[in-house]
Amino acid sequence: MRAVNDTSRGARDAAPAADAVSAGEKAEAASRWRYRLTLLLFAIFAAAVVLWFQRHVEPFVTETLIVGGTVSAWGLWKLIWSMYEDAGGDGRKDLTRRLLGGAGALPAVVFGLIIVALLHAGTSSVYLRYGGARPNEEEFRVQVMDGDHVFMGPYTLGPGTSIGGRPMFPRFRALNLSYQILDRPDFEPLALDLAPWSAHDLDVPGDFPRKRIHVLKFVPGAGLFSDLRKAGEGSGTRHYMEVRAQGKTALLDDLLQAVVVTGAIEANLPRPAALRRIGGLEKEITDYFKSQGIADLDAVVGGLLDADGQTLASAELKGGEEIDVEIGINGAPRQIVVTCRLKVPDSMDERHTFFLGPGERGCQ
Amino acid sequence: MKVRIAACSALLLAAPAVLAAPGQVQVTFKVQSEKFVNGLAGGVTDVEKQVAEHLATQLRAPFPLIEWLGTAAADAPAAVFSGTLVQQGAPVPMIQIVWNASVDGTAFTMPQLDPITLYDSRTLVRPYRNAGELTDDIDDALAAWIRTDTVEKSLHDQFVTQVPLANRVDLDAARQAIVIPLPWERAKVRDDSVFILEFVRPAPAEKVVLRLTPPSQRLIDPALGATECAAAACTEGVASVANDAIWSRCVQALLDANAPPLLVTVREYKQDPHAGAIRPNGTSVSP
Repeated sequence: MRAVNDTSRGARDAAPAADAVSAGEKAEAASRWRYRLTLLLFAIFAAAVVLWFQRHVEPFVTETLIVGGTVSAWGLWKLIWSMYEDAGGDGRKDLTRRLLGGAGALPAVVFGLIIVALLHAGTSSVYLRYGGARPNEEEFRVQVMDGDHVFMGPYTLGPGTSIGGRPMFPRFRALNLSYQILDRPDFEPLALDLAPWSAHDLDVPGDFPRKRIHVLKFVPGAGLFSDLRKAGEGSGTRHYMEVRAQGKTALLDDLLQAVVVTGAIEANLPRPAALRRIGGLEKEITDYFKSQGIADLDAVVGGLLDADGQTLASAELKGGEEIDVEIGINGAPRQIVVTCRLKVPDSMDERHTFFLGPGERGCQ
Repeated sequence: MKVRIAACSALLLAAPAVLAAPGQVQVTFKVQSEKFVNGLAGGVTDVEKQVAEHLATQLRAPFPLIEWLGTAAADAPAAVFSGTLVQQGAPVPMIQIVWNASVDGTAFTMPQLDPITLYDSRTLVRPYRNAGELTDDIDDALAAWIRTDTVEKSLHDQFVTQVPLANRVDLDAARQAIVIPLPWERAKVRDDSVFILEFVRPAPAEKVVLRLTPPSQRLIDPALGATECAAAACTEGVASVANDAIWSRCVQALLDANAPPLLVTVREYKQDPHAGAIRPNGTSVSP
C-alpha cells in the first residue's frame, strides 16, 4: 500500500515534471526554429547587402578602398570581440548561436532587412564604362542629360580612365535620362528611364547606337591646293564652295587650305578640331599626294592635317545619292574654277574622302 | 712722274650723244604671274621693288664694273636688265623667273640665260598671298642662281658685254694711253680684261674698232683712279691696222675737233677682287 501510495505520490510528482520537460522542449524547439528563421533572414539580409553593394557602390569605390575597408572592419571586429570576452563573454564556439539565437536577434535582423529593403528601393546608380570601341577610337566624352539639364558628367572615358558615374541615395522619382557622346555625331543619344531603384551600367561606346551618316571629306586636290588661302592670310582672292544636294544649296564662302567636312546637319558633323583624329585620313591624303608625285609632300600633308578643318552643314546625305560641288573665286561676278558631280558611295563605310580640283575624278 | 695730258694729249672727244648714263644698268623686276598678282593684290609693288634692289645687289658682286641700279635713276640708264615672274602650264603652273634686257631702248634676247624655276609643278606650297615669303624665296633662288659659273658666264657673254660703259675717253698721247672713265677701285678689273672702243669715222666713213688691253689703274692726274688701257689692236671696217699705226690712224680721229660719238664696252671682263687700292706714294697695289 505504502508502495502504492509512494507510487501514486511519485506519479503525482512526475506529472508536473513531465509538463515542465515538455514545455522546455517546446521552448527549445521554438528557440531552434526562431534561430533558424533568424539565420535564414540573416542570410537574406547578407545577400541583399552584398547585392546592393555590388550593384550600386562597388563600381564607385576602388579596389584599394574595398581591401582597406575589409581589413579595417576585421580589426574592429577583433577589438569588439576582445572587449566582449574581457567583460565575461563566452568562448567563440557559440558566438553565432548567441548572436542570432538571442531574443533580440530576430527583430534586429528584421530591422536590418527593412533597412536594406529601403536601400534597394531608394538607391539608383549610373555608371559609364569605356568599352566596345573600334580601333582608333580612343577617347569619348559622355554626359547624362535630364531634360535640358546636365544630370551627370561630362566624363572623359578612354583606356586610361575607364569608368565614370556614381550612386544616388535617396531618390524616389523616376528620371528620363538621355546619354550623349559629345563631339561624336556618329553616335545616337541613348534614352533610358532611371527608376529610383535601378542601375544603369553602360559601355561607351559599345551600348550606343551608331548613326548611319555619310560624312564627306573634301580635300583640295593638287590643282587647287595652292590657290586656296591659308587660315590667317589676309590678302588676295577668296574662294567659295557650294554643295547642292536634295534641292538644297550649302555655301562655304571662304574656302581655306583645309579639309572640308559635309554631308550632315551641323550638329552631326565632327568638330573642326576633331577632324585630324579621323582614322585613316592622314594615310588617304598622303597616298593621294604621293601618287601625284608631289615634292613637298610633308609640308602639304602636314598643312592640311594641322589646319582646323571646315564644316559645311548640308542635307543629310544617303548612299548612292548624287551631289554637285562648285568651287570658284568670290567676286562680282563669281569666277567658277571647277565643278564636280560626285556620287555618295553606298557602302557600309560612312566616311568618304573626295579630292576636288581641276583634273580630279568627277570634276571639270 | 709728271704726266701731261691736256698739252701733249687731248682730252676727250666725243659728245655724249648716245647715252645719258653709260655704265648704269637699271634692274627691274615684274610680277606677271596671275596667281601672284591676284593673291598679293596691293603687295605686288613692294615685292617688285624689293626684289629689284636685291637683284641689283646680287649682280654687283660678279660684275662691279657696272653700276646696277635697283631703284629708278634720275637719268636714263644705258641698259635695262629685267626679271619677270611668270607662270606656265595648268592645273599646277610652273612659276619661273625669265630674263629680258635692252640697251638704249632696244630689247635683245639672252638665249643662254635660262629661266629660274621658282616653283615647279610638283611643289604645291606657294606663297601666293604672302609677299614676304615670296620675296625670301626669290632672294634665295637668285643667290643660288648667280653663284653658278654657267650663269655668270652667260650673263657676261650675253648682257655685260652689251652694256655701254662709257661714251667718252681721255687720251694720253704722251703715253699713248686711253683712259676710260671707269673707277678702277669700283670696277675691280683684272689686267687680262679686254675693252672695246667703237666709233664710226666720218671720212672716209668706216667703223673703227679698237681693242683695249691691258687695263690698269691710272695713277696720275688728271683722271686719277680711272681705268687706263693701251690700244692693242684696231680694225677699220674689216681691215686690221698695223700695230705701229694704231695711234695715228685709229686714235687720231678722236682728237679731231669734230670727233665722232664713241662707245666703250667690255669684251672680256675678269674680276680682280683686290684691285683698286692706291698707296700714298702713287703706286697701285695688286697682289
